[in-house]
Amino acid sequence: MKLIVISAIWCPACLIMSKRVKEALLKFPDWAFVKLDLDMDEDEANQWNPGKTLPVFIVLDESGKEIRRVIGELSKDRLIKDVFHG
Amino acid sequence: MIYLDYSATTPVDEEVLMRYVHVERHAFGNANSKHCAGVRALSEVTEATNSIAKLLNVLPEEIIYTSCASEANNLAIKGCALKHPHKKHIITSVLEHSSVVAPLYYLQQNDYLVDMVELDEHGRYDLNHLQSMIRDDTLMITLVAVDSETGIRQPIEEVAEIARSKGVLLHCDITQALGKCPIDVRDIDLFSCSAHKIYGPKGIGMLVKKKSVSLVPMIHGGRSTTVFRSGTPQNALICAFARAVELAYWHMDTRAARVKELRTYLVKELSGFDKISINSNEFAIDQILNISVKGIDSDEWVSNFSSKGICISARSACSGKENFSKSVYAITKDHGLATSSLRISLSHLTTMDQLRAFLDVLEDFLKEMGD
Repeated sequence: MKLIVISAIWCPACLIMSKRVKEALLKFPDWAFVKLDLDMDEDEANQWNPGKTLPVFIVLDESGKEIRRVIGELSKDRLIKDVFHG
Repeated sequence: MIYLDYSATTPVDEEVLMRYVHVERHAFGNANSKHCAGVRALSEVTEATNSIAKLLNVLPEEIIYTSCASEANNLAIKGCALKHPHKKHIITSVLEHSSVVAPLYYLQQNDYLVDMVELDEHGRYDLNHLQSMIRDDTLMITLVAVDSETGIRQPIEEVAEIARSKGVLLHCDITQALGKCPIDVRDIDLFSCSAHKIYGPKGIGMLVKKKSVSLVPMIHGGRSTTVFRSGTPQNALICAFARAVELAYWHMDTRAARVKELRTYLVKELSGFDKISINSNEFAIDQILNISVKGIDSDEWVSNFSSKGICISARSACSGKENFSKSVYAITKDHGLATSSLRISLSHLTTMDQLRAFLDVLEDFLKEMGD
């Protein structure tokens, strides 16, 4: 599985979530992780149509197909439940 | 054009502009030069700095001129972090400007821990929570004095008391408060602001840093007006900034009274529209009025108003592409209101006719929406 997180350095929710994602990833060591900055990695981030609410969590299966997408600030539990377990 | 976005920026006051032109023409010397042109320039800069210091109740040597408040925020946060590398904990809030959030994000990527103070039901900092968050390794509390989206005035003086009692640095972004509401900066260790929000020119801001506080400069290059920010002194901008501060302080009461009158009228009229929720509460400064029209896309409505020659905003101009107002959500806990908020920011320059025209257009849009 692969997690793509689209965030921006000016976004308070992204600041909060970056710490939670880092902690959560420790529980899922098999997951590949890619972080895209909405401004710095603009072209690549825009390929995923991030919309207007940040951060954006996109989960891809082994074949690279998007299987779920969650947006915005999430509690630690919801992050695990909605993003990692789906 | 009807300009109702004075919290994003303001037009330069004619008197401020004249001051700028005068200094640029007659005191263009490098204020660090020893010859007569330099002495003349230094004299103007010193006089301006003394004037700002007196009005803000700080020492002249505590003023560090920067290019903008964003630079001042970066200097305060990163400069203090570099100076005290053993302290890795910083407290902030979801209300902060992007130029506070971004350096904190950067520090968090470099092993700092950033925690957010909770807001109470009025959208103000929960002081009990704040107090409980402070740790032995807390470097700094960095909080905004007035939320730029809802205008809510924060209890920053109480925050300063907590910070002082715990021996933690307090940095405060007072950009939206300066010249608009009284603020006691005596116990604030560092504060940032800019000229262009108070009818001064763009391109100058300042960080005021208490003498007892030390930080590492972000721009190294020798002494300017201070060792904490190198670069040739911006004589004309500094003098124009000083004149803008002078005018803001001298006329604060009359300007505030005028804005209060405008706001009272606007709130009364807006209250007549069923579809409109007023998000700014009793703690908001009069200059900022945040409303929501549930079901609309804020950005789309900003464009619609603009097509009619009316300038309002959805959020802070620096909050990027996001369409969700954290500030509005903090007060309302309503996602719909937070994604449909509009900020109207008033000035003593605003006229009743302008507000009437705004209300007429708003009424038309609401009718179209109903149809």
